[in-house]
Amino acid sequence: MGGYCGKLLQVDLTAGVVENIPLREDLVENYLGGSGIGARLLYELLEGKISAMDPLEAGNPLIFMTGPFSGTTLPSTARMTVNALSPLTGIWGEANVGGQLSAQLKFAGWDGVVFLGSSAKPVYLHIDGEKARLLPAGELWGQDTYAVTDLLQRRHGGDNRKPAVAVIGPAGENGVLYASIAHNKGHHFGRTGMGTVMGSKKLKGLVVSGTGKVDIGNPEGYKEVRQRLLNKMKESLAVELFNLYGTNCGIDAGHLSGDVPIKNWQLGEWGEGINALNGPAFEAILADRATCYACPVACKRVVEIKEGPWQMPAGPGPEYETITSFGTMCMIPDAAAVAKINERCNQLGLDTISCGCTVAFAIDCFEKGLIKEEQTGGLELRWNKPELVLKLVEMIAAREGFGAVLALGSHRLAEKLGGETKKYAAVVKKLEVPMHDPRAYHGLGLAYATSIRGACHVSGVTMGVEQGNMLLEDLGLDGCHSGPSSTGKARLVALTQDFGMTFTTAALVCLLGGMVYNERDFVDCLSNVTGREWTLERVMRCGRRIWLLKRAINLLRGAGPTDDCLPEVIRTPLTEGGAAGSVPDMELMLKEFSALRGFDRDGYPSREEMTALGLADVYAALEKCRRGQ
Amino acid sequence: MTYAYGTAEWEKAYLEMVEKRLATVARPYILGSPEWVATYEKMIQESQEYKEAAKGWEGTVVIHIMANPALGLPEDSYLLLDLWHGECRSVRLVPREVGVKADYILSGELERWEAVTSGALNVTKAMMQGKIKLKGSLAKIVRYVKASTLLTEIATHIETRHLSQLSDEEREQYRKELNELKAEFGF
Repeated sequence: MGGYCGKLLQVDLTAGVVENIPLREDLVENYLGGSGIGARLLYELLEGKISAMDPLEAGNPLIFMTGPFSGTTLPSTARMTVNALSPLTGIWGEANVGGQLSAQLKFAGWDGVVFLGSSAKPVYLHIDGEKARLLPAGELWGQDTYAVTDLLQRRHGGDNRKPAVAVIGPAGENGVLYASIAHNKGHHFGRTGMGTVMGSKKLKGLVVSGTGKVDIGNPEGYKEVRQRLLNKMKESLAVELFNLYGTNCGIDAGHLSGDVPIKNWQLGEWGEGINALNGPAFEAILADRATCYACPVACKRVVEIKEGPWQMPAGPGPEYETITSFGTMCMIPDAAAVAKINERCNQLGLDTISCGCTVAFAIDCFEKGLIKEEQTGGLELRWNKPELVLKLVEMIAAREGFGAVLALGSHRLAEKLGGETKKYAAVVKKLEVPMHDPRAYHGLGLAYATSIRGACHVSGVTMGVEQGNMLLEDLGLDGCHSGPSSTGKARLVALTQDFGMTFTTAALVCLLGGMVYNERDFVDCLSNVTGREWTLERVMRCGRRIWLLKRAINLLRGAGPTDDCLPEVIRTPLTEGGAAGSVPDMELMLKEFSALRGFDRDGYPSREEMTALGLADVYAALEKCRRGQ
Repeated sequence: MTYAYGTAEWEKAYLEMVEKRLATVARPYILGSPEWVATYEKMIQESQEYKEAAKGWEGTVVIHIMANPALGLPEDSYLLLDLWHGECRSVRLVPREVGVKADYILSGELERWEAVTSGALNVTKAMMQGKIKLKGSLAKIVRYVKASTLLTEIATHIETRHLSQLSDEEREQYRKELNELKAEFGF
């Protein structure tokens, strides 16, 4: 079966049983892979129990999925996804990662791993080709992700092979609601607390080695489209930029357009801070560049700090999202300090976006006098205090003192603090907003508001298209969109969500290198890898099916149209910078979006469309839920 | 060629030619014409914002407009911007052999530059989309992203006529003028 191994590992952690189950044909045909298949599996596993399931109960399945391109040498396709109900948001949870894991899992002969139940004692899963077994992890519990990764790679690696490792750190073990899963130290399944779910199951990690190959449906066609993409990459300025400065390459241009959030979203311009945190600023500590499996972009940074207060050995450097979450959001104009904070978050297993944003929100509240030292355990929270932020990171992971409250994320922190604090919590559906400002790009605001997992800039391709970095001309998206305008953006968002659901979340193409793909490239990749007939129309239908299924899961979890909104702090105009005075017209865009999606007054999709997309059973469950049954 | 580029004679004759055209050619000026280039030079020189953003910048920049005979541009045009530490020392139309040696070259089809100068296409987006190609050190350009953006933004403030807007007669006349300029100045 081109692009697939045709089987999944199902691991019952309660019983300690590991089984081989076939990957059903209907899943491949209708949901393609990644979180498309993940969503359908989760829905079926929880059928009838979705609404009431506590995400930290044993019954919440944890699903790791690859896509059809994983393990091939198509450029920028090394992503992998993990899905479950999220303990942070209470709705559909999804995080993804680059690195080597997805390729190794395919080489081992598996399309994914489904964890059910919960273990009584800490365990980890060792996959060595066809063999998979649960092993005790008692001595690993409590250790940080770097130490455990080194230990497991030594234990299960050989002279010429280094297994892919994905583990949680103390944050996941201790129930921090935004714990990540660290893969080979520097790659993180960051968002929506998937590491927390893993910790609740007493699952410390996965170790994966494989030596197989991925079948290609049409090798000749595959070779042609792969070469076409590689040629485009060689010509691409975006690829050159990502290689040069990593994901942080756009911070200067982003600052000019008003895209970079500063001071908990309330400052539009901070030239000296940007100069201290931009690509050239990080060159002083750059030790090397690294890449994901078979990716020519090589956007990953290796940094080393030999002198000063933030010394660290050579290791994974911070991404743009981390640099801004801690740098510009907490007003820390110091590349080395941010690199050190990133290292500790990596080791402790924390999502740097949620963590940095929650800390920035708390500092903002303190600076405004909305909270006092009595509530922070005597800590004086101020801007530009990297030592304090580092201390808070440790306290969060250990859930100690005020750290235990910060460990709940911005939404719950605002609930606990009360008063006016809620106005300054930048969350959508309880997930902290990532580091691109919708006041500079209004379509992104609608994408955040209607995104399935809460504010998200990667599940659709809205951002790349709206910023003009990705062209989807067959869909009428020619890259000439005005950022601070709401006109016509509902259509752009609906199209890019549908395309993106197939492209980035099911096929798991990376957003960065993925910028060089157009619709034809993607369709050609799908057809030639799988050996099945794909068209753009089928891509869009598949994306719409996945989007509606995930939306239905959220509706069943109680998150409806009233949750499709932007937080007040982001709906407040800035007085300076590239996006000064600009605010997305959410009312207009949501109205148009709802019409395009065919929602009824309550924000539910139509029976006709759900049925036509093969989701009649899901529609029936929604109707039942609406009737309160 | 009557004058050789790089000599005092070329420079003197160029400036006299520009002065004459500025006095006789009606506005708005055609994109890439000597009078348009002179207006562009003046506007960059007057921009305090550019001076501030380009502090420390060293290196010549060429805007390379690819030929489009059908629209009245029979050969490639090279607009050389001599930029130094925030100062715009000059902007000149130059012969090809000079233009291709610049430190940074931004190349694009005539229609792309028309879109950029009319404000319909953001030059950063155009470069990311491959509609305009950059030759030169990307690392350095990134450090001066504001100055680079300002250079093209200033061009959007020039009242401009595009070759695509000319009548056939006007296009023919412009083509003739370009041929005469090439004979005299080599561009």
